[in-house]
Amino acid sequence: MSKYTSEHYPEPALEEFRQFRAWVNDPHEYGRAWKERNDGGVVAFFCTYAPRELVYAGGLLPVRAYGGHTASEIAESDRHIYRGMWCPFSRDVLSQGLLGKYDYTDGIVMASTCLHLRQTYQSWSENVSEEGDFQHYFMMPHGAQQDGGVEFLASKLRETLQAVADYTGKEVTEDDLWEAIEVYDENRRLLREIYEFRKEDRPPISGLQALEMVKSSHIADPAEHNELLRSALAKLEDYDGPRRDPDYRLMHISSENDDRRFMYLVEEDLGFDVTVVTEEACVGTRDFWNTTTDTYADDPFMTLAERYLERPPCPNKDWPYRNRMDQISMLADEFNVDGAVLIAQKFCDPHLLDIANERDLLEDEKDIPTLELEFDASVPIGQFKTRLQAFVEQLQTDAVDMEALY
Amino acid sequence: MSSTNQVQEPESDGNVYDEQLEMYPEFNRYQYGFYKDFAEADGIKWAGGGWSYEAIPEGLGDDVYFLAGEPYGAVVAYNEEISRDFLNAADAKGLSSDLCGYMVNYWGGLTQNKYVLPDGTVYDQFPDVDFNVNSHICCTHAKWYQKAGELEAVYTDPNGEQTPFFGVDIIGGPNAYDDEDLIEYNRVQIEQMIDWIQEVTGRTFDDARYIKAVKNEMWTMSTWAKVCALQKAHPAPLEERRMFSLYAPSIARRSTDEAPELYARLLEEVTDMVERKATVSGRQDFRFISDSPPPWAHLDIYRYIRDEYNAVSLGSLYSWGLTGAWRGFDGGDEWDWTPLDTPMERGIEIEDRDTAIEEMIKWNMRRPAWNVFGGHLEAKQKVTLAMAEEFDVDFVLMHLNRGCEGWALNQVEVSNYLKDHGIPVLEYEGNQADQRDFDPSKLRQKIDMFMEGRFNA
Repeated sequence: MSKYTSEHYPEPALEEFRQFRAWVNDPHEYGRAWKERNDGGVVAFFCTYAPRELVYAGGLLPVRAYGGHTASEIAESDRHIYRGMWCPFSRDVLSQGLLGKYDYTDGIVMASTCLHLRQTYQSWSENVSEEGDFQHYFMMPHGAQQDGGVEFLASKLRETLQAVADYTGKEVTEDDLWEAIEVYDENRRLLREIYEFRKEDRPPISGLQALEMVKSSHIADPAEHNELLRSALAKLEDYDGPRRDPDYRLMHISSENDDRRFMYLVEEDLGFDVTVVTEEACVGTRDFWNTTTDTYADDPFMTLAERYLERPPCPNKDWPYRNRMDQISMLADEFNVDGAVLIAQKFCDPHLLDIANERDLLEDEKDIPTLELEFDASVPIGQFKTRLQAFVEQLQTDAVDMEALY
Repeated sequence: MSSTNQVQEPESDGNVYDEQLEMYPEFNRYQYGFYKDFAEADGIKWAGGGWSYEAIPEGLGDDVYFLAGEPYGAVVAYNEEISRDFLNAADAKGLSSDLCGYMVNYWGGLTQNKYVLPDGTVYDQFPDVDFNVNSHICCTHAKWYQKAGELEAVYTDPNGEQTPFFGVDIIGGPNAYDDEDLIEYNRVQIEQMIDWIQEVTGRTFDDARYIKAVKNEMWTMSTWAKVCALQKAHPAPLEERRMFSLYAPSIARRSTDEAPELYARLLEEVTDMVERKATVSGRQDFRFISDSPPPWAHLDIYRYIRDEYNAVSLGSLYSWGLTGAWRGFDGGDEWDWTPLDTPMERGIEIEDRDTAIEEMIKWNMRRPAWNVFGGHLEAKQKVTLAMAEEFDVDFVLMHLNRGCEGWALNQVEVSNYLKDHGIPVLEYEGNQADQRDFDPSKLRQKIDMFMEGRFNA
């Protein structure tokens, strides 16, 4: 049996992280159980730009639809999405829907972000959704820095909340929305507070555990997730358990990446003491680094719109100024990064558009070596292992003062 | 019009075949002219996508020159050797070849500091661009010119300065022109853009020039649709391979005074052809439509299928819907491929800046191509099926185009839909602007097998 399965991953010292792992191991079991417990509906979303607060305010649980990372399953979507140029994540997610893995969900919601996930939404709507399901697609500004964006998005969020109310048949008030905003804000604040511990020389949590923590925030009821985060935070503040002791601190900069096998490979199977200490990714800091502000304190829609447009952006929303580069630079500095792995899903236009600038920033301006990897639905362990080992060896060489040797 | 085309005599079936289009060289002259002017003329030069609100910079004066990135990318791609150099140069700089084919050609050309005319003339200095503007319609468009400005600072600008860039977020979809919030969002950005272009050029924006340009754009796009609608005739007067040249000015330079005048003359000539049952092609045993921009370096595939099988492409959502103005979903849930009259013809007076901006936004939001890039599957299915039915086609030639994610969006689902409605679809994989990604011999084999099936059918 392959060691690249969760039962072989090092067990987290904290029970809260063991629970995060359990939710990630079987998100569908969680979703079904949540429905039973709450007598509510579950709505799948495809991209972290879909404001979960609106769905949650209506008493529904938003869960992010993820791929299965299995080469045999991803082919299921070939009849619907052109595999020759659509990213593996978008195809894998649709495949999971077509295979019935999300048959307990009651609908889908999508904000207009990348074209790849729009295709997934459209094909899911046509081929997976059933009559009566909640289906809502709305326009989300790409010009996050443009004048008028907050007002425009707020208008779309109002329509979306009304769509939720129409679906549930229950009134959803602004107070309901404020409550949902507070729950998600707290979730994001807590995640960021826990990330502070990853800055330590000997971090108490691994990159794999951090990935499971963030990914589970897209699966679990945020109120329940917050309880665990609060508990974990309390323990981490007075922590005397096992720690990582990295010789090499890496970050990854990714389009969608929730691949635990990759994280296990990097941290446990290269033959070096490597820890992934942070990431600039949507299953990571891009999703939770900011919360709402009180700029529009009397209007929950404007408040929410501002938070989504001010969040660390996906590349296709990052223009004319390159805010992402500032964010990447800040993360690399604060988490004391030795090297960066630049990950793009095959055919991911937004991230391929930025990757040259990421490389220039890190290599030329910050003297941080980079390695580019192209992700497919499943990670080619052998090939990646060789490349990552060579990359870490390069970091080792760079660490030696070559001039002093001669 | 008193056509000189009467030299061709009708065949026994009453049709006139292989007619020479008088306006064809006129369009080529116009197109060559604006590319050459961009290189050589003095004045304000700006670059951006063909989706841009092109009329706005016209308000800066009579000496404004525009380079539309996608048509220019197609020009480069058409010149095979040059394109290969540009693409390889982009690869060498770590710019991914999986991205938009037009853009990679454009970027590659910048890194080589070269500029190309349609006839393959190469300038060893990319023109000095005053500003870049683009409308962000997919994942790529604003990012294209964000990066272009950075590359220009390194490779083409004599002073090493980054070209200023302004992006307009134009997100839309079916019935977007009815969405007051979206129109307002665009209006705010356009007001901002007008301030910005004055700031970066130091010129004063002239409302009268701008309003004239808006009207020109509308006449151009409306008239182009009227030309395309004539393809319903049997025989269809034009074939798409030549329409690519005829449509190009409507995307690359549509708001000048000359553009609508050219299209009006073209409409007159093609109308005359329809009355005489004349066509630029030979016999039309099979009529088809295509989907997505073609592989520009290999337009001979259209000639091959015509010469071997008397099969003629009438057009596509791409060549008709990118800049053609159609009624679309105006009548309800079903798409209508009837040309749309301009606002002026519908009694709307455009005499001030505010009205011009609002009508310009609505007009551009109507472009059928939005239904593709907006990601609305049902709309694209209906649009394509309506085209196939209204224009009486025998099959659809679908280019699964790795060079443009926007046009490739929902293609497989549309193909499934057409087949479910009894319309055969010939799919092939390729790339609009990266010849390394297309195998013409394999496509010819596929065409042979497919057409054999059509004959048997």
